[in-house]
Amino acid sequence: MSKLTTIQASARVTSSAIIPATATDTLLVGLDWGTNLSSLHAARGDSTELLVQEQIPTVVGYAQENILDGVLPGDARVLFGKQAQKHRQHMRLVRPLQGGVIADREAAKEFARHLRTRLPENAGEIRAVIGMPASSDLAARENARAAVQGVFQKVIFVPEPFLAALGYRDDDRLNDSEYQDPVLNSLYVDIGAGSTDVCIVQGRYPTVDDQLSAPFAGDAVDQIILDAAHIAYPDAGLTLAKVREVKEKYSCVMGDEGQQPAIATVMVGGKPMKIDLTAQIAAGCAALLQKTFEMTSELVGRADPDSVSELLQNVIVTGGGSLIRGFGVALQTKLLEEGFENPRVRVLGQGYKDYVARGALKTARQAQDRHWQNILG
Amino acid sequence: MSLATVKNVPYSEPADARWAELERWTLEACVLRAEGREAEAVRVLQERMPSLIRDWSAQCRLPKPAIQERLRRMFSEKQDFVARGLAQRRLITSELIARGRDIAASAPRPANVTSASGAGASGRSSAPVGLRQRVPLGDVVGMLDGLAEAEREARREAIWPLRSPATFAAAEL
Repeated sequence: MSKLTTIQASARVTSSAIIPATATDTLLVGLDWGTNLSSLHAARGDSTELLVQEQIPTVVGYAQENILDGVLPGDARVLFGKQAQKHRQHMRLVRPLQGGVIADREAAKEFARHLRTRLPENAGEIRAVIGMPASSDLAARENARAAVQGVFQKVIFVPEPFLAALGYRDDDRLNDSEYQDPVLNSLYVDIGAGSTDVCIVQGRYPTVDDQLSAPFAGDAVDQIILDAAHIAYPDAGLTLAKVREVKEKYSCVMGDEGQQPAIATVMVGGKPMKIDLTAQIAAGCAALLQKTFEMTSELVGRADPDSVSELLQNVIVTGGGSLIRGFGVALQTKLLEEGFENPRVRVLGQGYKDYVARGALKTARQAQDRHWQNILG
Repeated sequence: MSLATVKNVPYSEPADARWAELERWTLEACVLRAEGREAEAVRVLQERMPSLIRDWSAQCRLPKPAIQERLRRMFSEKQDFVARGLAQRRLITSELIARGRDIAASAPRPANVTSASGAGASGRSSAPVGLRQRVPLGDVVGMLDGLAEAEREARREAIWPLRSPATFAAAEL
């Protein structure tokens, strides 16, 4: 364990000024360790300048046995992220996380060590705030702690919705009368790969009663599409990876008139064959929409009745699922059809990937020494 | 653990069925509060208790002041009972954690749709580590303190489940 180099400082935080609680030679890291995609931010404790801002697909590739020299870059036995995906035909791809929590401890450790290589070499002490799914339990935290042992010296685990809310909020504009603070009375829907989380943020961090989580999200949609495609095209040899690729290009909940035909090219007996997955993708996305609607409805039902009108005006959809074309409009329409008054659904789009990491870095800057957990080893 | 198996504190009053139910739900509300499941505790107090109190009051044939006094004493005793059990549990688990005898966490288990409060038949060993009290968004330090306490409570729960007979036995010490 490296010597403590931090100073105890009382962090006084205002909307626009932050006094760092950490020493200048400490590297602060904000990490959104997503099932599909991880977002890594890093900065010095005394600086707002981002030294690292990177998104890395959360995948570890292990080289196949007996692979010829020179096929993989540097004859690597293990590759990560985009490199692993690029060389997938020569690798066994492992996703360390499922449902936002660690499912393969060894792969998770490998991936964490890879994250370390993305940070400055002479970083000094590294302290990381790591986002965890709102539903994660003690075991999930223990697994995550074990995975980052030897990578970071100190960590704090924070539920992702907290970090997303902090990251989404523009602190510099809080005194601006034109600025509508998105966390004063909002309902967040975060659709990831492994889980869908819905939470109410009403000027305070959501408690356990303000959140719902379900292990039904992008991965489940992929499986629905694959199962349906196997029935329609039993000889096409479709894989989850192929389905995911087509879904990411054509996913849509606009209805028949807005749906672009989802045509995938697959190899059958060495020959290319075009298959139409439009109906299967529509069914998968519709199932996700229905699940999201049910969770949203339940949580709205729990909210203080006096706050519901404004809450329904600020339904914010984030995560990879928010990139499904027409999802926000479809959710809004469904809420309206089911009798909710004047709902307004906003979709954060591509920007979502950075909000959790940004919020994590904000949190790291304000954390006191007592909050940091030492990682031995 | 089912609350039905929890031993109740003996009372000198004649324990008719309604009174026993009242005691049981009062204890349940106190335990829910101790678990930080405030919304569920409020539901018990607002939805279960009034009709029980009404029925018991009608059956017991006591004058109103005596009814009020008996209820007040029972509520107070149940609160004290749970508080004593919690204090013993906190003391002993703190000692165990300090000695590094923390129970190793098992592999993560995916759960079905559930309230984040983790209520349900699966018990609380896989309950999410989340805030149990309200913290304003600007108070990052308060949020982190709340999460740290939630994690400590999760560790205590792993060693000594709050709803175990041991908690209630400890309360009687």
